[in-house]
Amino acid sequence: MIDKIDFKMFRSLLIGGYERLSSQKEWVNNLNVFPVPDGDTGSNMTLTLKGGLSGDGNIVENSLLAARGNSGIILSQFLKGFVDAVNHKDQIDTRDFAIAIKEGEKTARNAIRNPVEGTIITVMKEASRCAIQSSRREGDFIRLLENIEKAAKLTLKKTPEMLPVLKDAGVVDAGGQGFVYILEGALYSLREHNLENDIVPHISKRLHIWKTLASIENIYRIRNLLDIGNHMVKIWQNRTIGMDLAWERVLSLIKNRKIKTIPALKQFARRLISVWERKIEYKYDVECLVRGENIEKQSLEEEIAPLGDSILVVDTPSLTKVHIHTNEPERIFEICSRYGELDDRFIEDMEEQQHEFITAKQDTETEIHQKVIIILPGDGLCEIAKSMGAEVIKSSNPSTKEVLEYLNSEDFHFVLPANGDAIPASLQALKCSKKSGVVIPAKTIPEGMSALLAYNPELEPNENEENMKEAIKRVKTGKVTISARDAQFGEVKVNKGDIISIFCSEIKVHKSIKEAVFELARKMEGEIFTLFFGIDTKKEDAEALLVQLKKEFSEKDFELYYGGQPFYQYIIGAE
Amino acid sequence: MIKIVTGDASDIPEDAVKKYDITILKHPLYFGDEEVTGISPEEFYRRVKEGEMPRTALLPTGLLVDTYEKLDTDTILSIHLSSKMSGTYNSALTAAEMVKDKVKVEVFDTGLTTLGQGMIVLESAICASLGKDIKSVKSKAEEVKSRVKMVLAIPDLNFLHRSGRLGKGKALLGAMMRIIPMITYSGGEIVPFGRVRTESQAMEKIKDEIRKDFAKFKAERLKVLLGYATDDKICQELEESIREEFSIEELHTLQLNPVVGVYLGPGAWGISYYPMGG
Repeated sequence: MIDKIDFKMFRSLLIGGYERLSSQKEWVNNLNVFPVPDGDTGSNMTLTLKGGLSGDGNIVENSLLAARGNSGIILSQFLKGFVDAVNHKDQIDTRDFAIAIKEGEKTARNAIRNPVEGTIITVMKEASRCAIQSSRREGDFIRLLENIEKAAKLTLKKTPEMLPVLKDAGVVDAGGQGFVYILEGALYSLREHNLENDIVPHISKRLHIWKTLASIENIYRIRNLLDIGNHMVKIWQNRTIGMDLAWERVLSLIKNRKIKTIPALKQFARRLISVWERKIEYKYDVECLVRGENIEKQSLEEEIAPLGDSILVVDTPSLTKVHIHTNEPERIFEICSRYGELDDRFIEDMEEQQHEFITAKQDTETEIHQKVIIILPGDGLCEIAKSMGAEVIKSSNPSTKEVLEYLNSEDFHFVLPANGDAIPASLQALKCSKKSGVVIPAKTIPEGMSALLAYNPELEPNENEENMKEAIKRVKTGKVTISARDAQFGEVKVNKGDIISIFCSEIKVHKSIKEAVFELARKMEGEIFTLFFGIDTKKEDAEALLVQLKKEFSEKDFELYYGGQPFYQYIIGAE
Repeated sequence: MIKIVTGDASDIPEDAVKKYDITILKHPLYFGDEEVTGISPEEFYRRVKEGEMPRTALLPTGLLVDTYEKLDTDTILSIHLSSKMSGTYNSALTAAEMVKDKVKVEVFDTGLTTLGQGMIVLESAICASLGKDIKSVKSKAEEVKSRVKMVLAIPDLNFLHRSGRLGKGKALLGAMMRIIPMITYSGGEIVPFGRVRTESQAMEKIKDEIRKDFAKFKAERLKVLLGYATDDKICQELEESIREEFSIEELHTLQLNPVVGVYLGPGAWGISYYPMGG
């Protein structure tokens, strides 16, 4: 139990918070839609905290000097209120800590000209309320921080309900998320645990999918996109509070029949896109320091207020920091210079930032990785499939459990049964695993191989699915085998040991393997015939047969590969 | 009038080169130490088939400087192959800087090669021939670049692989079944377009893509360049079936320049198309 902390320990909590935030800053950046979708909240908060922790130990002044952006300055004010409340003590208990958080929240709130609920300020408020309540019974810092973190997360989750722009954009508040990460990091530094980093679903990538949804006409592909949405929700839910809440929302709206038509669905997508792409009213983020004693903060604030929004004017005894979103940077500097000596002027073109943010090309790390898994019964077939980039399950008819073992990643899986009997197990496995993917219903080995060839890692999962399913239709399959038992197929009577050819559920008895293969070569249509010979067929015999085939059917193209499958002497694909 | 300069890594119909007065510089080409720059395609592919290994070099800055200075114009658009594939783009930038007191040279990175680059050159040259200013010609080049697609079928990827320019196309290597690898370009680099088993499947796949782009750009007509290394049979078939389905503004079939053939090998063929209108 930790019942007291000193300044050194407080600092190490803050370092924990900084480390967590800094490792998650891209995540926070990609939530940043309010007040301006410019994707820098995480970076700004990180810079602020880093500034506070470096230098001579004056956390308050250093963090203010380093503070960038709305959320950065709000965070620096939180630190100011917090530190001022405990500065006179060598050690503090949970009660002092809770009061300090309350003071931090108050100072931060007071700095904002027009506080908006549903942002970091709301998360701070609920965190401090919980801190006060919880500190009445909890003397242990770990328990206290656990409660605070829980309350903060709960509030964060509600931010879209409080601030409609967040709901439309399908995200929680970025600054609030940043604050939660700081609490998380602080808590985990007490527990001495490490947290895994989250994979960042970049906004540009997400918008791309929404844009596709807004523009396509094909109902089949829309369904497929929704599957991808489902997949993303699954990934993100496991890791942290849902990132793209819009997917969760749209999926539940469909489920509850609130969205019933494709146009309504597209309308939803368009609305989301328009929030991220909306035109910014005030183009520049302008910040500066005003140095001097007794600066009239109030009057400065009043003077710049008509020129923009997101105004923050905050101070320490020796300097004042000004932050505003405006279209007239020079006028702001001119006004500020009348109050004191200007320093550290900063102008950022947020329109440009926004453009880069929502159109940025992302590295492959953020793409949905795809994986093809094919079920094949022979070693030769497996080798061929591997050479074409698939993962292979060597089996004639695997159990659900066997398939399940291959569905172990966050990838989007394409399962190719290559065997009609293996389709149910494949479907069942995908369902049980709750992993994302689709079963491509290839019923034969040539169908499986064709589907595999049609796969292209450069394409989106829905395009691949379409191409692979198309590929299946292009290929026809014939088989040659020796009957294992006596049987009657319609008119055809087959005895055990008979050589038979099977094509399109038509079964024929032959005098020789050669005759069976020739029969298939005659019946099946296609330019190219691919023969896979089985484990019981000699390579020399297969090669001799190939020569004869080429001679007899000179207008057709034949290829021979060792398949190694049991039961079937030859499996032939024609396309 | 604005003059267009490019290198022979772009494939352009010969009559257009004359008609629009396009200056095409020849990339140095070697078999071993023997320089064969300007070799005829027939001889080039014959020697490749005999097993000789060709290589190319980027356009020398000096050659570019000379060319820029000697052209009778005050503004040049110098259009080159993907800067991710060759240093030529950078040579051109350097050369442009060196001649800037005498002639204004804008350098354009097509992000493509061969037929795709050729399409951009062709359209820019047509625009320049209408007496448009540099801003319009450049924005024409940009517009074509944003729409043009090139797809190449390359039975033997080893030429590209050895050159280190295959990029993500490596995913197409190593198949133990006979396939025809197809590539396209994205962001100035090669990416897989697909794997097919027969030429007719390759053609179908290309036509599918054209259909998609046609719809995407709400296009009305197509401008098409078809190219082959040694055998024009497939290009003829492809031309026939494209003409059947799409309204064609212009279509040319060319033999790919040796400097491109170095990387694509003797079996290669392909298409670039530019969906117009809409």
